[in-house]
Amino acid sequence: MRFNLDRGLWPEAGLAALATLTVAWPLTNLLREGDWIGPAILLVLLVAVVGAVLRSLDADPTLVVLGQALAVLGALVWRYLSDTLMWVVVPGPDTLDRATELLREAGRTLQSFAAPAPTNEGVEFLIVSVLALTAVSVDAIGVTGRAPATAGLPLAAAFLVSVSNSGRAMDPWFFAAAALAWLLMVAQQGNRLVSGWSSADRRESVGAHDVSHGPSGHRTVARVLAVVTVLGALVLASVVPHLPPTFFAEGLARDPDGRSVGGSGQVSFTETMDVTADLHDQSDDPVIRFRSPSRPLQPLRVTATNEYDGERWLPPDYDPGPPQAPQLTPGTSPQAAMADELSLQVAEMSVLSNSLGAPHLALPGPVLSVTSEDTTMQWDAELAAVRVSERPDTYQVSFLQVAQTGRVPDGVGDAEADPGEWEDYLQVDPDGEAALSALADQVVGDATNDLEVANLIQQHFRSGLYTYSLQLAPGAGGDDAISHFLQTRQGYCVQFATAMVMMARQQGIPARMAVGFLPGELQANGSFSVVVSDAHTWPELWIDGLGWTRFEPTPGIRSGPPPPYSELNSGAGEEVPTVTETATPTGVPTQQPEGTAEDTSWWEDLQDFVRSAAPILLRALVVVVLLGVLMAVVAIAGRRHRESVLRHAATPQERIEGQWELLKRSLEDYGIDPPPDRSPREMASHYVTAARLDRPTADAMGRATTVLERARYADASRTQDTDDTTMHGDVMRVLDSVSAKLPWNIRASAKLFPRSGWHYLRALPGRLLRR
Amino acid sequence: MTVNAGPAPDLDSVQSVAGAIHRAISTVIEGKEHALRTAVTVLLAEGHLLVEDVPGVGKTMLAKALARSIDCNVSRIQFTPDLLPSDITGVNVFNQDTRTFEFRRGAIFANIVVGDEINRASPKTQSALLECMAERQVTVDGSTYELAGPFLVMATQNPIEMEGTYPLPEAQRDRFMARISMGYPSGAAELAMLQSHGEADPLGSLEPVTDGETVQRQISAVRRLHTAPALREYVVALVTATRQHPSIRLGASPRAGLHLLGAARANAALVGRDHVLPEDVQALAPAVLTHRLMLSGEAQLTGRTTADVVSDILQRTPVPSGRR
Repeated sequence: MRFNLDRGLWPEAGLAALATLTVAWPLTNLLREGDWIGPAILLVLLVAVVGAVLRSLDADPTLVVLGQALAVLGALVWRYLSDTLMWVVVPGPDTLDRATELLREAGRTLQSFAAPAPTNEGVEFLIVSVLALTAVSVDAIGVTGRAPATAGLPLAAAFLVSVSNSGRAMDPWFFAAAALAWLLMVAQQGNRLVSGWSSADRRESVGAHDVSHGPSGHRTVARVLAVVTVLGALVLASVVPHLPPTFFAEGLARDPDGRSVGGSGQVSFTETMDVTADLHDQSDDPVIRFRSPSRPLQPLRVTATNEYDGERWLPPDYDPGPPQAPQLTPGTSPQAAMADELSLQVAEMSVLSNSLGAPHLALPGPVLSVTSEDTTMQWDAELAAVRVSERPDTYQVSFLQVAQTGRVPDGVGDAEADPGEWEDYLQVDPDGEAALSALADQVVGDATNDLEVANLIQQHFRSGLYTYSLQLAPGAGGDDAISHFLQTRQGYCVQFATAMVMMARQQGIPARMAVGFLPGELQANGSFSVVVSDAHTWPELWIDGLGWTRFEPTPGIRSGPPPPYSELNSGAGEEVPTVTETATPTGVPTQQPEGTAEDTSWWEDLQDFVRSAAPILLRALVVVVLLGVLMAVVAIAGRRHRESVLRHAATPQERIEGQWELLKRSLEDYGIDPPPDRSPREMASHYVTAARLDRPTADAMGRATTVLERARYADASRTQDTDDTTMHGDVMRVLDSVSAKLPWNIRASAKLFPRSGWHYLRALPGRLLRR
Repeated sequence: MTVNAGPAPDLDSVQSVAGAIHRAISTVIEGKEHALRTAVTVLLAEGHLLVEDVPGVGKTMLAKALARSIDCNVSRIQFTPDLLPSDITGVNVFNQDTRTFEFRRGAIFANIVVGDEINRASPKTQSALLECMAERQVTVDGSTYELAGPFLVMATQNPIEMEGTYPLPEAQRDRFMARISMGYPSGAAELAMLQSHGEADPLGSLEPVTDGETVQRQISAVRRLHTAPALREYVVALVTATRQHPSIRLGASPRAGLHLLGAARANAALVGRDHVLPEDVQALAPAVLTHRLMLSGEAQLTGRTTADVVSDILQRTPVPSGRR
């Protein structure tokens, strides 16, 4: 095994690594911290170096790829799973568990956070692993396999993943950089190929072409073409209206009814709300279309959360009740907690199409019952949220609505909530407490009734002092999110609702964040259409006598006018709030015993996975089988075509002609076309030049040609019975030598989709007709 | 099917005889391998050779050297405007003693006839050669005289644009198997020539390397060489293509096809191959075909030559594989 630096293709390996890192660049927009960058660069470089060293040692391509994969695996284990190793190097029983745990963590994070997501260890592990695997495949295809153009496929896949999901238009620089890196790979390979041409070939081009240009002329043409291509792509991309990259990732217009043209069949719902981030996703993807005679329409509530970490609201812990289908009814009747005098009406809503992904369901509240044939539902009493096992396409809801003409009974809101019982709902963000308390003193004054306090706070936020804006005011440095908002008075629903929740809590009123959608727009056909950008959040306060009550502190267009009942009020300065939910929260949520669930969970997970993936797997299997059959048919047809003359040969001369035809058609499969109707010698010399045969192979070709000439042009007695066998040996030698020099992709296509196969199949109908 | 009968030809003998002649002529004519080879090929193919070029490049020297290298009957005719047909064929002379007409043989009665500057004689005199060259016989006053084999006419001529020349009639040209052109020698060959020709006449020291009878045996050996049906198809295709080519006013005759196949046979025999390949045909096609073709007016105006057309035809005509 000799070390040959040149065979290592070091520059190509470097360019492949650069290309992989370039397509990972947009990830910096998707992840908040850059912890992953260092390990990713190191691992990608490791792949390049290992590949180049193995190639320098003239290792088999399979070994090179295997070596790279092992190096990546080793590095990943060492970096992220080293504490689970036995004797420092051997993966222990916990290694796989730990890896799974890291991936789960990554999955949870990416599901629950909108971009940019925080980079925890799981996310870092996932990103670095994926990038390293991309680097291996790019290096394997582009450098070891010498098909840099094809290496664009894994690059494009990685690029698509990294530019999509940010919810914003792609930064043109990302594309330009990725395209340039890829073109550099292709150019380097082309350069090496062209400079490998011998000077003899250069002389051969005398004649029709100007020899003075030679390969360098081609190089200039290639450079100009590359520059024109990149510029063209950039200009085209900026001129032609384009779709956000997520469209490509999720597929166009998959909804069979065409209702959600341009969108995916499903809208996933992020439960995390970041108080510190600007709002980007202004997508018009439809979420729900419904009809309801009820007026005014209430927001559709999905879930609620009470956990705030100083910057964002975290997803709640669900504690759903038993499964119910096809009709769900809440455990306790909502009327129970309502003040007796409150005038209530039962209202109906019928959802015509629903794209909100499971397990979420958007409902007006308080819910009396939900009916859906498509799914199994569970009622989470504490959050007043419905969890579904599968996304139902349609469902009907009946709910309670406070009559528009009603008034709030006396005594409501008088009783203080017990801080011991409501501990979780009374935690004020410690950073913002000072600012909140200062403002609350100003706003609330000496009001004591909870409902009155809540109304005062709501009025304060809607008073015109605050500006509704999707962009937050520039950072005032060091401030926490709530103080920043109270100071700059600019934000959108998340900031308004957060401030109100915190202020209410500060005043001793239990409060939580409800998440859902505004009721959307009335369509020409009388239905309402809710789109993704209708997503909304609002505070829910626990008012004694009313239960959980919705307030709307967000001013302006997004939230619409203040709840209409405030205008009906009898001048007392009090609003009649909408009552969203009245179930009494239990102080200590009841937990399911978990032992049995743990034991069988992996098996059930697997079953679930298989069940959900079965249709996709089946389809993939059908495609694979069809592809396999097609390959087999073409390959077999190719063999028949190549050997057709040989098969029908009766005399030694005909067998020799058959061997020649086999050679001719096999070379055609390898992309070396025969010159039309030339003499055997002319053909042989054409093949020697076109296939760049080395001396021994050219000699074999010469011998085969002589045998053919003798069979074709000499007296029949001059052909011996063994000539056919000798010629077969020479033909095979030529074919083997030609095949060995070709890149693997041409070899594979000659084996799987040979041109001779297509010839045969094309000619088949005619042949059958003639018969 | 095979058209060739008899025992397999002795190609070694053909090769050695042809090689000896070739070497002998090479001592006189330097650096003209191709011309020499074509000359020997034509000799073995039983054809006649036309050597066309400007004066002084060694046409006559080649003809004389070839004649001298074979120990046989050689005659030389200097064609002049006042040459009469009877000077070539012979004439009946009245014998006073026997009181009968006696036939006095002309210069054509020889194994190798060197006709120098053939296009300086009038067409009438040139035509005297027609019967002898094609039929290898002479008819004078109703009596026919056979010519002995081998019989080779080697004529030289100046390009027709030269002063005092008559163009050879088509029928005459068609009887020559091949036309070659000598061309100026290379610098080195010319230097060597100045040296050798200055000291002594190399032609004078040229000794015969074989005799007419041996050459005749080789000729019949070459005639027995195998030609495959596919190859004959190829010859016919080439000849037909000359008749259909848009730049050609007069294409090649069937005799041209015979000559082409014969020349190809000799070419194969010269390398010791017992069968003829398309390459043999291709190698000889320019020499065998160009002098028979007549360009159309347009082609002449565009400056094309018959050599261009033949090369074009060779390029385009498919080589039959013989498979059905």
